[in-house]
Parts: sequence; C-alpha cells; structure tokens
Amino acid sequence: MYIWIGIIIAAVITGILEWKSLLQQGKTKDLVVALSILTLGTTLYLFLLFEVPMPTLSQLLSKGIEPLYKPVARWIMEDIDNG
Amino acid sequence: MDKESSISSVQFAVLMYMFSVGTAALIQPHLMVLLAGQDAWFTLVIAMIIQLALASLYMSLAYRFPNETIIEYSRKIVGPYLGTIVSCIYLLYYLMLGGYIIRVVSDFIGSVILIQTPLDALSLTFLIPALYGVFLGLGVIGKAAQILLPVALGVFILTALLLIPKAQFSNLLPVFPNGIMPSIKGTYPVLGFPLMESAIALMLFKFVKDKKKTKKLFYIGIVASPLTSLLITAYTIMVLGVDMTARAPYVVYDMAKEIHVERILERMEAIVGIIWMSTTFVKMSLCLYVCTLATVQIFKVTSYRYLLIPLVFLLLPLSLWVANNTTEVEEFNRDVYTIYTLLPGLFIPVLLLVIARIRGMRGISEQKQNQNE
Repeated sequence: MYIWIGIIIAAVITGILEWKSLLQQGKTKDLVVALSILTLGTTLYLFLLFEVPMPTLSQLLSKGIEPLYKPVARWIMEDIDNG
Repeated sequence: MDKESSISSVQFAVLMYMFSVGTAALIQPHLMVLLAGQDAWFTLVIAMIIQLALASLYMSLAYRFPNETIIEYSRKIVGPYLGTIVSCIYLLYYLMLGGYIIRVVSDFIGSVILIQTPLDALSLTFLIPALYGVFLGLGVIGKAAQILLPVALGVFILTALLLIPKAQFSNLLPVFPNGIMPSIKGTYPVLGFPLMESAIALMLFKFVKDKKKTKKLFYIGIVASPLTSLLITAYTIMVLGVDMTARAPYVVYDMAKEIHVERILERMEAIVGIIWMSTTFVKMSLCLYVCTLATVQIFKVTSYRYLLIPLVFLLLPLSLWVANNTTEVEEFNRDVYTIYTLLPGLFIPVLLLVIARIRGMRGISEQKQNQNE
C-alpha cells in the first residue's frame, strides 16, 4: 500500500547520486538534463499522489485534436449497436 | 557506433516484429471484432497491405540517411529550429507510447492475475528489466528478443493446438454480411496501434550492422506482425464467437481459459501471459531506449546512461497519468490514437522524404562518420 514512499525515497536517492556522479564525471548540461527529467517525473508523481485536479493525458490529447478525430470516430461507430 | 549498440539485420527484424505485436495482439482483436464483426480477419489483410506501404516509406527514408537517426537528419533537412521541433515530437510520442504500454500491461496483470496489486508496483516490475536491458545496450535487447521469440511462438503454437477441439469455423461465417465497409472501418484503430508505431525503425536503423540485408528482413518482420494478429483474431472468433470477443477486453487471455484437456491440463491462461510479457518487454525496452536516445541527441548529453534512471522516474508517473481507467485507455485507442499518430508515423516521414528528394540530400557514409568521430 505504501509503495509510494519507496518510490519517492528512491527518486531522492537517485537525485543525490546523479548529482554527485555527474558533478565529477559529466558536463553541467548532463546534470541539468538528468535532474530536470527526474524533477519533472517526481513532481508529476506527487501531483497524482495528492490527487491534484488535472485532466489525464488521454483527456488532454482528446481535447486538443477533437475537431480532427470526432468526425472519424462518429463515422467508425455509426453502425455499432452497443457503441 | 559502439559494439554494445549494434544489431544484426535479423535482430532488427525480430525486434520490429516483437515491437509491432507488443500489446496490440492482446487488446486489438476485441476492438476489431467490435467494429468489423466476424470479418475482422479481413481488416488485418488490409492492415498488412498498409503496413507494407509504410515499411517501404520508412526504408526509403532510412536508406537515404543510413548512419543517422531521424532526430539527426531532420535537422539537416528542415533546418535546426524545425528539426528540433520534429525531434521533440518524436521524443514526446515515444514517451507517451512508453507510458501507454506500461499502463496497458499493468492494467491487464492488475485486473486478471494480480488483483489488488497497486499499479505502481506492477509498472515498476515491468520497468526494471527494461531499464537493465537498455543499460546494457541495444545489442543485448536484440539478443534477448532472439531468445524470447521462440518461447513466445512456442506458447502460441501450443495454445492453438490445444484449442483445436473448441474452434468452430462456422463462427467466421457468413463472410461480409454487411459488405466490406465494416472491415475498412476496423482498420482505423489498427493504423495507429500498431502499424504507424513501426516508425521507431527510423530511430533504430542506424544501429544495424549489415544494412544490405535489412530491407528484406524488415519487410518480413513487419508484415509477420499483422499476420500473427490475423491468426489470433480468426482463432479467437472461432473459439469464443463474435459476441464474446467483442465484449471481453483481454480476449486472448479469455480464449486460453477455454483450454481443458481432461483434468490434466487446465488454467493455461497464465502461461499464455508469457507471450505478452516477452513482447511487452521488447516493446518497452525499445521505447525506453528511443526516449533516452532522442533526449541525448536533442540536448547533446554525453552518455545515454546518465538519463536512464531519471527517465524511468518519468515513465512511471506517466503510465499512471495517461488515463483514469481501462475504459478510457480503450476509448483513446479506438477513437483518438490513430489521428494523433498520423504526425510522427506518416506526415513527418513523408515530408522529410519529399524535401530530401527535392534537395537531393543524402546522409553521411559510415567511413566519413568514423573519420568525424
């Protein structure tokens, strides 16, 4: 049930280890890109964890391309009884 | 190109086949039968023809720039600014695809095998082997696919043989009761998932060692995928009938439940899950690899290995965020996904090929690339 605690702790530890190793071995750009991705992922995970009201990715994309897919979807489903 | 990331033409074809079969064969029969009824098998015949045309498009573009990925040559063809936009479209597309694949498989396992297991735990269980595979390189994923393919095919053939007593050919009849239109409509969801997803070949072609043999093997691998789906769909209809197939979301799993050999061999459905575990592993590994590669090439990062674990921490919440429930995923697959995939799967490759042809552009040769490196 509390797997999220493990995930958050793992993300923080990963961040610290990446910071340490990339400061020594990599370039600043590597560090910035890696930590940005990690922060983005962890933030999204926290948003989902605390049930921040936001549309899902499917809803977002569906809204974005609604004028394009709606006519096709209607045509596809027009003869389906239980559609 | 280092040794770890180079693959042979056979491995490339096997990877493309398993990527294309992926999760599609698990959930597509249900969608196709819903739209095309007992003529769903014909939908896949049409799909094979479209797949061949798409494969020919991808190969034309890939052979023009054999030692570069689409991220690299799109910048050359349309300039650095538009090229970066194209690259970002591909990065976002494969990130989202990765999220969807994880979600579909976790939903499947969570709803039929490991009920009440948190989605996070299931997703992580699938992500960790993929992460390790990508860490070891594309060559290792290729070799793993070569090992997994016979296992998956073996299970598939065994299941088909055991279900022969239950299969009724009459379930496929009458042929075309409402004309050919339902079959054409059934092609719509298949176009996006999985036909146009094979655009991933444009990212992987660079890593093939013996490119002379690749075209033929790629065509075989990529057409074998709708052929497999055709066999699965036809078999599902023959065993379960049209109504049951249209209702059950994981119809292949339900079909495997029908296996009863006296009281000796029962509950074979978990073994059938092996097929999807193996194809999904390949699909997810390739998605993670391509996402990492695209990020490295866009942001010019020194090594892809620096980004692997951060990307896993992005893919995990992404898989939870893609949809609220299975129905939403299914509706998205049926209605929206194909239109969304048209951009990276068809329009961009066509546009790049046309511009490259008009401007007479060709990629750098391997020799020249080695000199530059």
